[in-house]
Amino acid sequence: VEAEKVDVCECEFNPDFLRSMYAKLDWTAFRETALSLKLDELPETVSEEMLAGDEQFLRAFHHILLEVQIEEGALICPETGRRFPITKGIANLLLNEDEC
Amino acid sequence: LNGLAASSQSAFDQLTVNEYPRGIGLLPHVDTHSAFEDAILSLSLGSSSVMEFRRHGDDDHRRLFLPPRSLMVMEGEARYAWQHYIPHRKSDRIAADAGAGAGEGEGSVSLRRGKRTSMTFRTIRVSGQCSCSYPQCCDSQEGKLPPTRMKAKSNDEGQASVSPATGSASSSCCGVDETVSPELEKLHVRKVYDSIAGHFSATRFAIWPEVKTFLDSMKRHSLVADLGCGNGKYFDVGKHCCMTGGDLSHQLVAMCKQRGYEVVQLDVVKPPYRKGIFDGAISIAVLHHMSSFNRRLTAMRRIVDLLRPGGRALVTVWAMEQEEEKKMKKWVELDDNQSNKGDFGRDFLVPWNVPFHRPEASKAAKSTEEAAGKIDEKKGTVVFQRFYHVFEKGELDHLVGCIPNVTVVKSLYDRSNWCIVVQKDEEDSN
Repeated sequence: VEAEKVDVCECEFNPDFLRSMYAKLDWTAFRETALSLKLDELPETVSEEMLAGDEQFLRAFHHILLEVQIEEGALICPETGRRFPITKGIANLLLNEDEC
Repeated sequence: LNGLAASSQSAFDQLTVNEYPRGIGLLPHVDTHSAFEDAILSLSLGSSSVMEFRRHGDDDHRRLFLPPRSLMVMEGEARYAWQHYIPHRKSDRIAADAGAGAGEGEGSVSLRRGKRTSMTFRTIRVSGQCSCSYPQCCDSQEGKLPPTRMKAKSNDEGQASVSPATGSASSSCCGVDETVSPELEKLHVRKVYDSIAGHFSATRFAIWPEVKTFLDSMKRHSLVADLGCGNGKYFDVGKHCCMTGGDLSHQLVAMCKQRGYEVVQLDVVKPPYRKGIFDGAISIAVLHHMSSFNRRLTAMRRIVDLLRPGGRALVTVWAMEQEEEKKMKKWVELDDNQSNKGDFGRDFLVPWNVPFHRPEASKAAKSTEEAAGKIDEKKGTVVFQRFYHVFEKGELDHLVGCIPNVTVVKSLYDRSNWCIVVQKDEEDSN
């Protein structure tokens, strides 16, 4: 990820939602994305206990997952280096014809 | 083996060995005329299967039972002018006497497939010029030479799921690379939606009961994808879920973003999400904008790919059987869409009228671009033409039938649309 402009947008804290989301995430990729935005509060590994009741962890997770928004920047494919621009908070993930 | 070919050709000098796991078949294609001579032999080992043939340009359709250790000889019209394919199924219905024709009627039995290995013998055509009597299908004559399937397939990286076996030179007759959006869609889908987005969105407010039922059935916090989300009207219906999605049109995606939804600009034929993690997916009135069977099939497969085992998807498309038949009189049928020859359903350009008072109308009236709207003075509107492949009864089911690891849960007609709900199979230790 490349971020030129990042917004923070407050949003309701819901631990249940976070637990469901955790199951769907590639945690390593998620954490690395956060790190590239200079957000380093996320642990390398997450345990059941942390998900169940570690408020500090859950708050950090919530903040990064839901409140941090990239307004301008790009998503970068780690394999090809291809840049997918983000404009006004929308990522354009269309491939050009020659990449199909 | 050489004595088996009726036509006189040099000895078979090319062999392709393919392995078909249970449930995996082969997409329709004609073996490239310019690459190989007439007769092609195929030896089936390990399991029975059924090969189906459909003639280029019409509805004629045959099924051939292939018992294990049988040899099929394909030459002449069957080799040059009929597409052959193997439906992606885990079992086949066979006539009780196991005759050559695969039967479906009384006394037919269901024969479970296992892993099948095929050995296909061909003779390389040294001249590279075919002079068969089927010029329409012939890439040396009038047929277009499509890009090879290997090129299209090499972009499907990392898929553990479906990968139909393809011979090194098999290709669909007069087919195109299904991941590239054809001109027809660029002009009459993408450009039109970009032009009419505001007006389109203003008219998209009705919540379809079938879609609501589907979303209501999703558990709290389920991960659901809306592929071709338009103005995002279903995100609110699915607010108990974690819904994400996108659309081809930047304008429409921007409207969703403004309403606070998680969206990206995407093409349903190449969804930018990790596979196998979605609890649910919807694609409402989207697949009918794809101008070829292969693209519709690719889109459907990609939707299924997103689902976790046990996940469900709802897809709806316009039906040939329209409730307001007189509306259809305004549609212009496209007879010359090469990619739809011999397939189900029919292709149309359907008008969308933007009244003069709308900002989209004045903008379009000034544009000189192709597929920009045309002014209709009498109606007081600017008319845009959208491309639709309108589905006939059973066509959606057939499309799903070409995809392994997925079952139809519900298939119905509702208000001029065909709707289907499919479920991805639970992982089984096959």
